[in-house]
Amino acid sequence: MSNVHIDLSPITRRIDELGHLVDRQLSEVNANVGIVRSEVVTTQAELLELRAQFEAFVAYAERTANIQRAETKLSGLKDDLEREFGHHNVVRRTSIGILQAFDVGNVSNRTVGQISEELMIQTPRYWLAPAVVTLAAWSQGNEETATVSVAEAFRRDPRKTALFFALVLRRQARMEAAVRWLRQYLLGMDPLLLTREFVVVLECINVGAFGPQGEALAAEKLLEWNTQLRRDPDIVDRQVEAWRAFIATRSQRLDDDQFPVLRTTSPQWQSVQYVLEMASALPVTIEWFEAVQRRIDHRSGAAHDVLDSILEDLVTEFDEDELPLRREILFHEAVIDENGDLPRARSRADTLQSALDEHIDIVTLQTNAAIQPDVAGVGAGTQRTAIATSRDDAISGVGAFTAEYRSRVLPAIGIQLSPTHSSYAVAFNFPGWQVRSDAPEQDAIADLTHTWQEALAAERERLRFKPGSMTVSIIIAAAVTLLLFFFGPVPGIIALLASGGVVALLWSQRKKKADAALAQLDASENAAVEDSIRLYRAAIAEFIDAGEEYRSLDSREGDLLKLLRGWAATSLTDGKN
Amino acid sequence: MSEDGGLLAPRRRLLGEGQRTTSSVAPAITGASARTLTQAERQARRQRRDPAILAAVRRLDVAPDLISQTAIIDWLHEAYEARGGGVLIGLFGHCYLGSPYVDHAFDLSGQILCHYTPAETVPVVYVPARPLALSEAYAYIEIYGDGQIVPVRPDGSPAV
Repeated sequence: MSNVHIDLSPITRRIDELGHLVDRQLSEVNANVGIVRSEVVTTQAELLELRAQFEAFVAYAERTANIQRAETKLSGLKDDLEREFGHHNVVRRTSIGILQAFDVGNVSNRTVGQISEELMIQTPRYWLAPAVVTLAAWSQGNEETATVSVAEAFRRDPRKTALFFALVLRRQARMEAAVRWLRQYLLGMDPLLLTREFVVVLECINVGAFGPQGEALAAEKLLEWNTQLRRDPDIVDRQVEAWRAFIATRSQRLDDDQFPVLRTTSPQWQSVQYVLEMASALPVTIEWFEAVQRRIDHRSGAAHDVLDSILEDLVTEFDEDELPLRREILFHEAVIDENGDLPRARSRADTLQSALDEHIDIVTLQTNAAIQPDVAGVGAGTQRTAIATSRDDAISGVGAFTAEYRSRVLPAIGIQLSPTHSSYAVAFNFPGWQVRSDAPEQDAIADLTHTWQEALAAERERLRFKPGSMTVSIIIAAAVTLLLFFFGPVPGIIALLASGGVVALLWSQRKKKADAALAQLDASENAAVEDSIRLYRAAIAEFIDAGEEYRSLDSREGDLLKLLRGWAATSLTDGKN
Repeated sequence: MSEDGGLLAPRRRLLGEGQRTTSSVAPAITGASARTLTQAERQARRQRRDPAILAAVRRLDVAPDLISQTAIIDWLHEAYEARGGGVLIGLFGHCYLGSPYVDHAFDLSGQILCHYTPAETVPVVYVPARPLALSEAYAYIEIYGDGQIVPVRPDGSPAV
């Protein structure tokens, strides 16, 4: 048994070698896995980017397709419009041409008659055609034809016919007849659904284009409509709200450097700021009204041109039949403008469309004329009259505006000194302090001082000289003395004197140091309290100032109301200067 | 306006019909608030208040005894009904009695007059009227059953 000896060392060596080989190969595999992983990550990132680019391209392609589609449709629609309503344009151009020819007088009546009759035949259902025939017949003195044609034109579209003839007759200086047509025109208007063209006509009447009779007519009509519509409190409420919103826009902003202390120390600063800014609207509004009173209009000189342009607009603008086609054209043009973005094109087209066929009621029209004359397209005279008509609304608007901000006034606010309100506060860990602005000053200052004292109490305690700290020294001195006493009374006494002196010296030194530190702390405390009191007083002073400024602004409401109540309803043609 | 034997009573009460004690609970808003206002009522609220009404409110503030106060409140009740502006719950105004009272409320439905100090909370219906009463621009504030607050200026015109 003893001679059997198996030499296992080669085997173990081999196993070791294999182990090392496996290790090496494993680490190689790890490295390869790492490489593959990073490649996968890169691939993923590239894939995401590719996808994003693809989606962007899809969106771009879609938009481009929209644009192309819109362009195709647009040309198709325009052709449709031309085909169906193109002849209307001929009539329109002809009517302007005829009027100009009448002015110049270089075209024969026969030609005018012939052309107008041709147009009458070629454009059925259009109101302007018989109107043109009327003009031609009138110039020829043919009363029968003129009467028949007028009746036909009136039957087809009473409103536009009335306006057309009012303007034409005015142009030919037949004022009385023009006013009669004007009356007809106004009769046909629904006070709840007035059009833009009405605004322009009203403005021209106010400027005196139809003479005093026209003004009287317009004033009477407006009064009638106003009385009729103002019975509805909802309409009145809307006007009051419009005035209130207008006054609110006159409010000014406080500068950032005003009331610096109050801004940072009061949690209710927002309310104070709001109330001050709102009240500041009152003097601005007064100035605005005064400016309106002074405003001079240079319209009257250009009345003739304005009316001519109305006439031209009237006869060249499209009629209701064409509206559907026109709307579509508008939409497709918007698509092209917005580069194929359909939702935005839709909203743009809607906005434009609503501006075009805007209908408005007479009361809102008056309010718009009063508040935003430029947008409404009226002059100074009309604005003044409009303010006179909506005076009660304006007064209610002022009342609503002032009541709103007055309801937000706080009789007292909180003043807060934060833990970081001064360098002392930061240094000494001031806990923060709060007080109401209507607390008596004495009490507030006492409380503040007390807070500071409490804050510094710990520090004070720390710096105080405590006899207990001398215990160790005294014990050592006593021990040394006792020890030396063993050597005899004399060394003992010397030791006693010496150690006593050292202890006394140490004692007085430490006490002095503590006292000095405490004195310094006292000084710091006083300075800190002074600082805080100054800040508090500054905040109170600013609050008082804010209150006075608010009151002085708020009191202007009386002036504003007086101005409004005394607003004279000036005559309609006020701007003849 | 006497005080009870040297102690300032926090509230003065006029008891109307029934044992109504005022508490911090708001005077009940009647079912009238549930229906919406008619056009006539809305218009009536916009009209100027009669000078007689304003004078009565002023007198109420300084009325010497309970009987005259009750008489004035009754008269005001009728005057407001005649105006036709809807159901009036109460009138709120600045108190000129001086410290510590700052404002007072006349409850027209229960005919109760209360004074309030700054620290006290007023009944819920009067809460929005309180800051308005601070302003010197208004003679008093009307509180209606449907919740509308109408401040009235010294010349009788409403700020609505």
